[in-house]
Amino acid sequence: MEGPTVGFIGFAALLVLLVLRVPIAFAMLLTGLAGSIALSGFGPVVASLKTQPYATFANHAFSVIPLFLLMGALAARAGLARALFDLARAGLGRFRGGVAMSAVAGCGLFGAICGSSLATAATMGRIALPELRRQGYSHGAATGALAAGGTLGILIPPSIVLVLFAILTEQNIATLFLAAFLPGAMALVGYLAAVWITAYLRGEGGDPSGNESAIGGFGAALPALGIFLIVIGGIYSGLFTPTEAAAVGVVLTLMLAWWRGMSRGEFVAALLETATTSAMIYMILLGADIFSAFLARTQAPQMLTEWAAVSGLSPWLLLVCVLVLYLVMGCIMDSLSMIILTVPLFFPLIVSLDFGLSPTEVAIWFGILTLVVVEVGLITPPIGMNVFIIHRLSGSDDMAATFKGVVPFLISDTVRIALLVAFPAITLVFV
Amino acid sequence: MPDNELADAGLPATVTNDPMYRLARGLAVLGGLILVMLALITVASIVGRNLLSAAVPGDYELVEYGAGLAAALFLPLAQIELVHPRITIFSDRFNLTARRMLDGLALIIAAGLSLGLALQLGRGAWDAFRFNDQSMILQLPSWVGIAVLAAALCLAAVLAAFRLVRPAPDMS
Repeated sequence: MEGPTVGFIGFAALLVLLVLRVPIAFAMLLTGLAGSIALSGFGPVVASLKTQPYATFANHAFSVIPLFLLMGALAARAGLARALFDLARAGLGRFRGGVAMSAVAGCGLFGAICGSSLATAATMGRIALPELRRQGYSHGAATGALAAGGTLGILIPPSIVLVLFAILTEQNIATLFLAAFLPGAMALVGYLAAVWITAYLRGEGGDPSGNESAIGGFGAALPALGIFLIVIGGIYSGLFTPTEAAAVGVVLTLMLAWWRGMSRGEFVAALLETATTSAMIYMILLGADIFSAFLARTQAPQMLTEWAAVSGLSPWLLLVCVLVLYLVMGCIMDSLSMIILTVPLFFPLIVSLDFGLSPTEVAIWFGILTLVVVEVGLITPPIGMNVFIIHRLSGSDDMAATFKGVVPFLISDTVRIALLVAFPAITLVFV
Repeated sequence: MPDNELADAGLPATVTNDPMYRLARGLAVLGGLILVMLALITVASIVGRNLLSAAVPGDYELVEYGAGLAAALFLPLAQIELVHPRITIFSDRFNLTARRMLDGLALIIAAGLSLGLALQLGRGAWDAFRFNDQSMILQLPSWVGIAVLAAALCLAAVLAAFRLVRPAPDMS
């Protein structure tokens, strides 16, 4: 059989397995192996498995992932969430929707030392949800703000999604973090605006009661700001590599958590949380490695790129198509799997297009756009993971209200995506 | 915490009370402690490099090797807790029997693939042992790393089979 035909069958088989509840990692492994065997024969493919899986696991580039995950898991147990929430409340509490704004801003501050959206949503949710309830926020408004705010965990560097994108596309992690800075700040401002406008439309007032804790809040939040400055500053200044920065972050958050009285049980829980998430990512990376090897044999990525070149379609149209596809896929599948599965296919296509930018600039810009659309997938129905987390924390059974509460933030996201697509300079200004 | 809370929701007590679960958990904690150690060594190396102009020799190799070991040790827990993400939106309207059968099929696929990879890696470990394959600076033997990954995948295959007989209570 011809490569393209096998490639098509392989993709179809992958989709069937995914629909039939086979975990994404194993579906990619199975179709990748079967397809490669069909094209290259049993012997060579099976022989390659003697070392290839180990090469994925003992890959220095990947070691940054479990380290950043551990840093976030420890930060979640260092008692920082309360301090950051209080700090945000001291500054924002008196505005309309002030407590919800403080929850969102608290998420943004926590996102500066945590690269995971789920951890950010869960950590800040535990602290802010009871307080939002006490201030009379409706269930949907409270959980919606926290689910959306949690996505600032990946939008503001460090960011596990960006780390994965950088590894998959061989881009510089530090450059991508730098590029994410302004879009991340825009996300925070956009979310605060979403809260304020919603509160204005509902005629809600502010809450001046949180102000007296300003000084105390700042003092308690200082370690978080210090860790952010050391870890991210260290990366930006070239003092250490991203992997080293993650290691420094682990040690600093561990010291802080211990100083704040983290119990041994909590420490073990942080290790276990890191373990399951890391294992999940490594297995998907292994599956994707084998599936990409198969795709490369079929020459499907080159064909896609060549097709785009001769089709005469506008690069902008193709970019928007890919982003829309990501938004749709983000509604039905896990965001990290989606990135790992599709970036090897779409990245060569997008970088080959002419946007009037250098290929590196396009790569970075596409990375940030991918990050933003992935983030939207975390809060859209039917399977927005952040919504699930906050929903579980809230103990209510009204999931629809949470999704409704997320709507103002989705509008804010749409505006931001449009701006980032239309003006690549927003992303590239610091790079 | 967050991620485990999600996983725990589907973990029946017949799983969490089993020695198999405790073994997988213990290995994951060991892997986590390896990560913490790597972080400490890396920080020591950064401090040494900048203040004493003497970095920890082979710190790059050590992180690569150690992170590989840790990630392998995490696999059994992920398998027994069934954290590997999947798409359920299309099959959620199937009836319970159909969903159970599909989940069983997925576990058989996971077990089969894990076992197959473990077997090949076992042969890879043997090759690496025979040819005395080592890292450049610290001479870390690669066969140990490969063998640990093979063993972890083998255990993951067993645990996938274990979950076949101890399925999660249906959530929906």
